[in-house]
Amino acid sequence: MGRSGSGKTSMRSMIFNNYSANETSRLGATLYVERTEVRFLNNLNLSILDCAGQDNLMKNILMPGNNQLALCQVLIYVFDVSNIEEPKDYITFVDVIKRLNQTSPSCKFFILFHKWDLVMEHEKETAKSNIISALIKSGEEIKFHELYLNGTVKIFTTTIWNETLYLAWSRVVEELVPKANIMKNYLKKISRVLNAKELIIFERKSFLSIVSYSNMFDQDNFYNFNSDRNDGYSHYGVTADRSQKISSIIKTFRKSASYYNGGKFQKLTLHSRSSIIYLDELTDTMAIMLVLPNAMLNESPINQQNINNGNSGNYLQNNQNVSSSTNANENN
Amino acid sequence: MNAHLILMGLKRSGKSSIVQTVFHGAEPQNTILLDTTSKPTTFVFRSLIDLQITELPGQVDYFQDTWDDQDINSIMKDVDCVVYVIDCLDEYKATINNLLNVVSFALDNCPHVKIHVLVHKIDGFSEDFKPDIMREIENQVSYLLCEIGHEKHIDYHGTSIYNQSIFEVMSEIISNLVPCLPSLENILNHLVQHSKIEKAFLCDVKTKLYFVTDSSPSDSTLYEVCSQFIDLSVDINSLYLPTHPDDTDSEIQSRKKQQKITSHCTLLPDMKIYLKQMIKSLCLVVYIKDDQLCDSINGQAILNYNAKIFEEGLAKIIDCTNKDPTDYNL
Ligand SMILES: Nc1nc2c(ncn2[C@@H]2O[C@H](COP(=O)(O)OP(=O)(O)OP(=O)(O)O)[C@@H](O)[C@H]2O)c(=O)[nH]1
Ligand SMILES: Nc1nc2c(ncn2[C@@H]2O[C@H](COP(=O)(O)OP(=O)(O)O)[C@@H](O)[C@H]2O)c(=O)[nH]1
Ligand SMILES: [Mg+2]
Repeated sequence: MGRSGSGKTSMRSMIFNNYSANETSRLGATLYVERTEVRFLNNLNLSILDCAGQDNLMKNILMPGNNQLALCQVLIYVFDVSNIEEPKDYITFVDVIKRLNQTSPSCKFFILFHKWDLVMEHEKETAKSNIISALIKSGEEIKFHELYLNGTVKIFTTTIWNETLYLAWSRVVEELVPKANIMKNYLKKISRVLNAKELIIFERKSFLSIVSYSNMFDQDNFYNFNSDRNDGYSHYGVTADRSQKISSIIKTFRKSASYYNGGKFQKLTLHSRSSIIYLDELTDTMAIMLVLPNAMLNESPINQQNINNGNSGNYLQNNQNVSSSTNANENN
Repeated sequence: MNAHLILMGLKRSGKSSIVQTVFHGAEPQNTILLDTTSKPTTFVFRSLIDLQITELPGQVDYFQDTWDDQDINSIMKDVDCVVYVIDCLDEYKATINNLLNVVSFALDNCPHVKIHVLVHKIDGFSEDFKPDIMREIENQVSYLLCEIGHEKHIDYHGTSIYNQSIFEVMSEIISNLVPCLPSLENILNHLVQHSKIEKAFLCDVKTKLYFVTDSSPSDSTLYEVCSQFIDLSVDINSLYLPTHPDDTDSEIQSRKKQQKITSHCTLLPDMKIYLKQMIKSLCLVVYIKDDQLCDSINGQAILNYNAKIFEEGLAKIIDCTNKDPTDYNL
C-alpha cells in the first residue's frame, strides 16, 4: 500500500513481470486492488495485493466490512520520499496499521522510502531520520517506536533505478520462505565440502535471493561496492549487497537475451584469475550460484556438468515439500 | 596505431551525448542535462588503436567568421575521419549548408579524410519513416554537392543514443580506421569456420564497441545480447575481486584488467555465448548455435583452444603493425 504514484505497481512489475525501470513510466494508476498470484518455490503461493493509492479508493479498502486485508502476512508500505504530504500521509499510514492489527495480528511491516534516487546525496541522512521521527511521532497510538525497535517494522530506502529494490524485496521474501534456516545449514555443509567462497540460492522467476552462505569474511577483504547501506540491512553484510547486484544484473541480461530468438537464460560459467563462478538451475523453481576460488580448480570435487545431477537439487526440493527430512547428505 | 576522429555538427545536435554514452558509459536519459560544449574538447580512447576524438562545438561557424582560437586548418591537419551529426528532428537546412562547407573544405585540403554523416535522434521517427528521412537528407546533400561541382563519397547512418544503433555505427566507423583490419578479419573468419561459430565480435571491454567482426551478416539484437554479456561477465566478476583495504582506484582498475575472464552462458533452446578477454582490453565474444558444442566438455575445450590461438595471432598482428605500419599483411 501507499499513496497513489508512490511506485507500488512499478516495483511489482519489475520484480514479477520483467519490466525494466524505463518501462514503468507507461503504467497507469491502479484502480481498486490488483491481485497477482505467484507460485514461488514449488508450494508457496504468494498472493500479492497491489492496492490503489488514491484517497477514496484507499478508504474503500480500509472499510471495516472489507476483508481483502484479512490474514495478510506482510505489509509493504511505500512512501514516495520526493513527495510526502504531512500530516495526511502519516495519518493514512497509521490507519492502515491499525486496521491490519485487527485483521492480521501477526503481520510484519516493511516500510519503503521509495524514489530514493530523487533525494540529493548529502540530504539522504537527514531525510531519512526526519521521516522516521515523523513516523514515530504520528504513530504513538500504534506504538510505532516499539515496533521499529523490536524489528516488527523494517525500513528500507529503495529506488527502481538500482539494486536496492531487490534488496528490500528479497528481505520480504525471506520472511515468507519456510525453513530458510535448514537450507542455510545445508549450504554451509556444501560450502565446506567444496571449499566454496559463496553460495547463493535464487528463486528462478523473480531472481530474488532466498538464502546464501558466505565464507568470504574469513578470507582477505573483498571488494566492497560503495552502496549506501542503510540500517535495517547493514547486518547482512556484503553478501546481501552482492546478491542484489546479481539479481539485477541477471534480470537485465535475461530480458535482453529474450529479444534474440526468445533465448532463455539458463546457466553461466565464468573463470577469472581470482574465481570460478557457476550459476545454474537447481530445481524447477530455484537457481544456485556457486563461487569457488580459482586456485583449487583441479582439486574441486565438482564440475560444472553435474551441479544439477547431484543430490543437492533433490534435497532442497524435498525440503520444500516434506517437513521432516533433516538428514543432510554429506556426500554431495 | 593512432587515428584521429572529429565530431562536428550544429549545437544541440547530440555530439556530447554521443561521446558520453558511447565512451563514458552514461545513461542516455542523463544526457538531457548536458551543457552545450563551448570549446573543442579532445580525449583519447585507448584500445586496439589509440583513437583521438575531438568534439568541435557547434555554435562556431569555422568557415565564415575569422575564428580566433585555433584555425580550422590546424584542427583538420591530421584528421582521418570526420563524423558529422545532423539532428533530424530539427530543421536541417542550416545544418546541410554547414555540412557542405565541411565537405568542400575537406576536399580541398585533406581529400583522404573519410566523412560519415549521422542522421541522429532517428528514434523520433517511426520505423516506416526512417528510410525516407535518411534518403531525403542524402539526396539533398549529394544534389547540392553536385551543384558546386564536388564529388565525395559520404556514408550515411541513422543513429540514436536510446538504442544500440549508435554503438553499431561507431563500431563500423572506428573499425575502418584500424590499419590491420583485413588481417584481423581474416583470422577471425578462420576462427569462425573452424569452431562452428555463427557470429564473432572482437570488442573493447569497456565501451563494447567492436573493432572486428566476421563476414557473416550481422544482426543488431545479437550484437546487443553479446555486448550485454560483456557487461554481465565483468560486473559479476568484479563482485568477487580480491582487494586490500588500502587499494587505490587505479590499483583496482588495473586488477580488473588482469582478470582475463573466460565465460559462457547457455540460452535455451540451443544458443550459447562465449567470451574470452584478451590483450589490450579487448575481448572476443562469439555466438554459437549448436547443441553438441554447447554441452560437451570437448566442444568447450576446442573453443578454448581455438580462441587461444586466435589471441596469439592477434598479438602478432598488433606487434607487427606497431613495428612497421606499412607491412601489416601477414
Ligand atoms: N524517480 C523514480 N521514479 C519512480 C520510482 N519508482 C516508480 N517511479 C515512477 O513513479 C510513477 C508512478 O508509479 P506507479 O507504480 O504507477 O505508482 P502506484 O503506487 O502504483 O500508484 P497507484 O496505482 O495510483 O496507487 C511511474 O512513472 C514510475 O516510473 C523510483 O524509484 N524513482
Ligand atoms: N531523442 C533523442 N535525443 C537525443 C539523442 N541524442 C542526444 N539527444 C538529446 O539532444 C540534446 C543535445 O545534446 P548535446 O549532446 O548536448 O548536443 P551537442 O551540443 O551537439 O553536444 C540533449 O538533450 C540530448 O539528450 C537521440 O539519439 N535521441
Ligand atoms: Mg498502481
